[in-house]
Amino acid sequence: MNDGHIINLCQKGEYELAFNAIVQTYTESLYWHVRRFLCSHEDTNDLLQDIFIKIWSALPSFRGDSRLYTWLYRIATNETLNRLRRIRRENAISLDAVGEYLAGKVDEDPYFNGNALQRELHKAIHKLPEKQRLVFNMRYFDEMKYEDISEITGTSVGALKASYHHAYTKIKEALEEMV
Amino acid sequence: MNKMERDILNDPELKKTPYIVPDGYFDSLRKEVSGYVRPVAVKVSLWQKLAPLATIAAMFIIMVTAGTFFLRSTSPEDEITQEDYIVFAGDYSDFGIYEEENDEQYADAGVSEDDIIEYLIYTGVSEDIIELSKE
Repeated sequence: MNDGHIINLCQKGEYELAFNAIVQTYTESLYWHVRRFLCSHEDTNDLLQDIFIKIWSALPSFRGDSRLYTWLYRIATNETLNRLRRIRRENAISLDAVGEYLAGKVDEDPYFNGNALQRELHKAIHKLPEKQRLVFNMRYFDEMKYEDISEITGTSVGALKASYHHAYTKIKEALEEMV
Repeated sequence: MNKMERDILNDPELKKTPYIVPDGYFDSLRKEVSGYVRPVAVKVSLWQKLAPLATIAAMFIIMVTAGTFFLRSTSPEDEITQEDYIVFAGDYSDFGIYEEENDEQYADAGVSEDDIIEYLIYTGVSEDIIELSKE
């Protein structure tokens, strides 16, 4: 079922059908979006369920003014960033040290099945500042358009391009050092 | 070798996700999520639960009030008459009757004239005065 059909269901008040269609269509892509930030499968699974509850609660207020896909990613992104801030607060981790903490999670993750280069790539991503990490993940892995990322993050396209450029350069240098 | 070929991030392998999930995870997650939001959907607020009862209670009060008003306005026998007031006042007059009964009780207490004279002598009243009072 495409976004147009789901929006039609929402506008008719068929929220349960719309929600089930969202779950069927977007579960996997939202999972990977969150997982790249949290690393841990358990943490991602836990947060994703909260995200779906948020989506369900907010569905009656979705009027179709923004695209469904960007609306869903906006909820998932906000919830993920909130969770990361909470993890930082609960573990008394400074803003500078949070990258190291998350990079360490890549090494601990039993559900990581990549090669050494992939491991270094994901560890380097976690060491990026929040906004750069956000734009790098969405642009590099999901190949989203800047306009869509802008709609999701509420940041201008120009700022996103600059952030991506900085992130890309840092990651590339980190990997080249390793190779 | 041009610049693009040297860019390590152009390796298509790097774009693939290195993370994995347990077998059948997404199917079970979809079922779980679809299942647990249903109770949320039927979550009813306290007012929604009480609204039917409140409606019934309100209707009952209206019916009782309207019925009472209707019966009072159409049944003359239910009006308070002057006789009711008399009966009501008569109830309070029982106090007077009670007092009279008490007087009679005192009158029948068996105190004779001789008893009174003895009492007067005992208290030191002179016989002359007692004689005068007897006349």
